[in-house]
Amino acid sequence: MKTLPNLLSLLVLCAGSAEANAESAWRLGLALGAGERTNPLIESKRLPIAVDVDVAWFGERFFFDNGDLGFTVLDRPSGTLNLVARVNSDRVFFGRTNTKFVNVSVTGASLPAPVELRVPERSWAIEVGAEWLADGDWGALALAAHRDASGTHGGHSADAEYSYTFRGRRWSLEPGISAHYKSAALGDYYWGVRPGEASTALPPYTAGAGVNWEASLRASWYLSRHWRLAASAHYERLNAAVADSPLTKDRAVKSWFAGIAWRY
Amino acid sequence: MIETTTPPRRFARVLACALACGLVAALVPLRAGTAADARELRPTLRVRPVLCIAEREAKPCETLFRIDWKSARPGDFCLGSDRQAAPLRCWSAASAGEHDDVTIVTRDFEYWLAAPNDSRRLTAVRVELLYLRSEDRRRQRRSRHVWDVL
Repeated sequence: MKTLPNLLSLLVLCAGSAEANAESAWRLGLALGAGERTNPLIESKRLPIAVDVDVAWFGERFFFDNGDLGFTVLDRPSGTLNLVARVNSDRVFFGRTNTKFVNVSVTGASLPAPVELRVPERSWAIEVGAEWLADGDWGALALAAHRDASGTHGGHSADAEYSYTFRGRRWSLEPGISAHYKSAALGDYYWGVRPGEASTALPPYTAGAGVNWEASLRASWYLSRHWRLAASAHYERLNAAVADSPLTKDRAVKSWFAGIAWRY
Repeated sequence: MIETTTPPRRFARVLACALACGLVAALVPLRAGTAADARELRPTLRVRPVLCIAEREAKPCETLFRIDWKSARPGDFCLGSDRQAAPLRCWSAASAGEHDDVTIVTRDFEYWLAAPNDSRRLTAVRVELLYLRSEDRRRQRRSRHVWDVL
């Protein structure tokens, strides 16, 4: 039981002794609770979410935000333009998979003999791009475009996100909506089935481009400046090219989390 | 006439001086005793809310704070705030009190109870200021990694 307070003390020490209302360059957060994210990939398990770690550092120009590296090109009252290098998020679904023998193909056809159904290996991709952030009384908007820089999938993507925050004396509620475009090369690398990977249980498939739509809701009840009760829910509808792939078993990715969160 | 009236006047002055000195002598320990008593009473102070949430730094956080306190025995107390030098309100021979304070919060501060004319705080409650959004837009980025659910 002493581990959590000790860990928080260590994180605070790392962040430095900033003045009460001054903003530290570091943003450290830890949320503990219960939650999960569904995995649309066949022969995969749901992704449990018990801990959400938030580590970010913001310098004058450079920043690190939970794995994203950025450089601020412009920062104006109208908006902020950043160059960003990030890791593609599709690969995470391929981390918890099983291999098993099936006598029914993914299309539902009976097979004469049990066949090994193995989910193909996929690699992480490093993407670089630019993002535009703007906000005001009307809410917050983020527009981003990224391209593969690691030679993994050779594709590109574009994201548009909008959110608005309602707040009360102790709470905030932030609904959001976003659209995620994925090019054919990106979609096909992760969700296509190449001839060498195909079997009688897993037919070959070429995925095209498409747009995923996502709705989210984040709620917080603030206990103090650093502590809050937090809950969130996300629903992302996969584009048809991905949803029709023999590698997917679900049409959407759903996630939720509820717990207590600490942020410094 | 002069000879006969002077002694009573002189006596009256001496008497008045003695009374005044006695009064001062009596009051000084009384005031000291009141402060000491107030400290011994250890009153409890409650402030609602203890957190003022603002959208961002440029937006003011104006809030009505409801403050109440209780003491085991009656005493003299003053309610103060870091935001101003003079007490917000004082009570005499009271064992409980209430006060509403509407203020614009620009930084963390404390409400406190003290004995009158005594700078030592008997009890204090800290009010924190929280900005939901930073002036640095980069801090509002929604990280794309799958584990980030908040």
